[in-house]
Amino acid sequence: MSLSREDLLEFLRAELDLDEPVEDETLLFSSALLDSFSMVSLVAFVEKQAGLRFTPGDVNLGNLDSIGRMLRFVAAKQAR
Amino acid sequence: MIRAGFLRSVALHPDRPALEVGEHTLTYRALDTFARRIAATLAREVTSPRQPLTAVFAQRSPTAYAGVLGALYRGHGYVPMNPDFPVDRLGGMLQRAEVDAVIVDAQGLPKLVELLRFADHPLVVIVPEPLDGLPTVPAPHRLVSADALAEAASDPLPPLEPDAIANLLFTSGSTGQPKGVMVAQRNLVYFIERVLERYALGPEDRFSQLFELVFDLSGFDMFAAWWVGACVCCPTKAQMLTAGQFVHDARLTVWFSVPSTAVLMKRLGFLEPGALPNLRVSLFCGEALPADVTRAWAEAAPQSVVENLYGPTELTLACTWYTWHPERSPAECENGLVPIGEAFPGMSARVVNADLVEVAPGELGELLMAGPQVTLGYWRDAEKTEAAFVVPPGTSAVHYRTGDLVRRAVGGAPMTFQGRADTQIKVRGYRIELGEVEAAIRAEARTDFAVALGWPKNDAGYDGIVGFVAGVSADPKTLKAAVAKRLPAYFGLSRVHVLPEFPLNVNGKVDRKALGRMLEEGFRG
Repeated sequence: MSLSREDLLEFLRAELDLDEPVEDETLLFSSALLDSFSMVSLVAFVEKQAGLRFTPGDVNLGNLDSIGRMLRFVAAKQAR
Repeated sequence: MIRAGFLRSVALHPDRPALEVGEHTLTYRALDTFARRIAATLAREVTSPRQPLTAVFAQRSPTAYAGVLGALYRGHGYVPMNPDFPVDRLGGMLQRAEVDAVIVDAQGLPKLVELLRFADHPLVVIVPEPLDGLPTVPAPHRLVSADALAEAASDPLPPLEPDAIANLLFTSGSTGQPKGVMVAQRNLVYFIERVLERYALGPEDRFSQLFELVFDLSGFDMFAAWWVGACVCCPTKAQMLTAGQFVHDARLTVWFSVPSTAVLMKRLGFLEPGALPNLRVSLFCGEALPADVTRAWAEAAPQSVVENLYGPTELTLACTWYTWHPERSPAECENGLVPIGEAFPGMSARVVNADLVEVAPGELGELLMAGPQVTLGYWRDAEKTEAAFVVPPGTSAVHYRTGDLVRRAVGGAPMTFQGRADTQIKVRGYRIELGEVEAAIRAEARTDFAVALGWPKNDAGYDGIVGFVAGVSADPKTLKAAVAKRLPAYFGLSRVHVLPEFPLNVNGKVDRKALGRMLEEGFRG
């Protein structure tokens, strides 16, 4: 199970209809590119793709607000 | 008057926190001083207002709350304007409310100059917090910045009549022109008194403030908390995104939100049993409340009373309530929705047919309500006021027509919400309640929310119905086939779209109109 930058970009584009160019550190939620309902889909996608479970404490902007943060979160979680 | 509750707490608990927003904590004393300075500035700058109203063009900031209180201290009603709204809509509100002053925070500043183009009268713009980059305000308008704010006066506050407007709230109108609901001081005080009788609230409590000020439900958080000396905990926009985390970070004890927020929290795993141990009071209002989310919430917050509140803005926040009871409630739910319960003390409900005549117990009808929470009507719109605020035959009291369908209670049973009177549609001449279709979709998709719309439209009604669910893993064709099996063929269900998420309106409710626009624009799933 792995989650790549390309997987995330494709999901944002195809599933969440995000048309703006997104860099690794582009803030997705706090810049209002995505809303809180998109977070549900995004968490479900990351869980499935990376083969892990978010605990409620994991669901925060520190882990989800950019592609870079998501990749780092997944890497740290899988290393545990 | 509604400001009396805050003033009482200033006297009793001056050093307790009244407001936490972002990195700011304001004690009762500090917020009182800030509000008095705004009120004194209003008095100095606007000597003869056209209307006793002041606009607050701010959100989630000390200015927003001090602005509300400052207007009330001045003896004005406040007109909340959300900086996220399109400027055309804001401009229309500004013109129609005939305000002479607008209180602005950092979030309002970027749209300020554009907004002033709509002003057909000289405006005083008060920016009470020290901010950089203040725009040049074109004449004849004037800007009063933080360093020019008047000193707080300890003079007695100007008197207020019970019928004076406490807030003027613009709600969407069916014709596209927002309607301004005039909520009187006495309406709001009556509501808060009923709430304080029902829930044991005190100065140790910490209230959520998830609602924007333009949403009438924000009034509960502010005015109930301030009446008892408690703290209003206002999340920033970023904190709003993870409400499930905010409950813990802010150590909330009183929760009030739309059901959609709870649905979201459930999906993100925040409603595990015992996950919300500090909550004592959990209230939901603003849309239909799904039973399974309520059950999960009650298990997550075992120390909390969990209630469904119901009421349109025209009846002052909420006017019926229902307590969730784990053993009894499941049997009282209908279509998977929690009942709206019974009228507040002093308010009376009447369930009527199209001629405004009461239907028999157990039958469906439109809910009309009368009593001290019936607001003053629509601002500058006698026609719409007369149509919605009526005296039904055989009664002498003004009732508000909610447009909501309920089942008239039998005996002591609670009232149940059955949908909007105006979502009853005709498909090829057959009369159909969209709520029934939505219940069928919810059941088949095993989800909390579904929307059904008449589609496509023809001159007499609709050719069929299209359904929507979100955030479920279902094959649209299989789902549609299963739902269609639950319904008579004449319902004409043509499709059930499975969306990643529902579009939401500014109040956090599912935006049915946006779904309709998607279909008009050729959305095929």
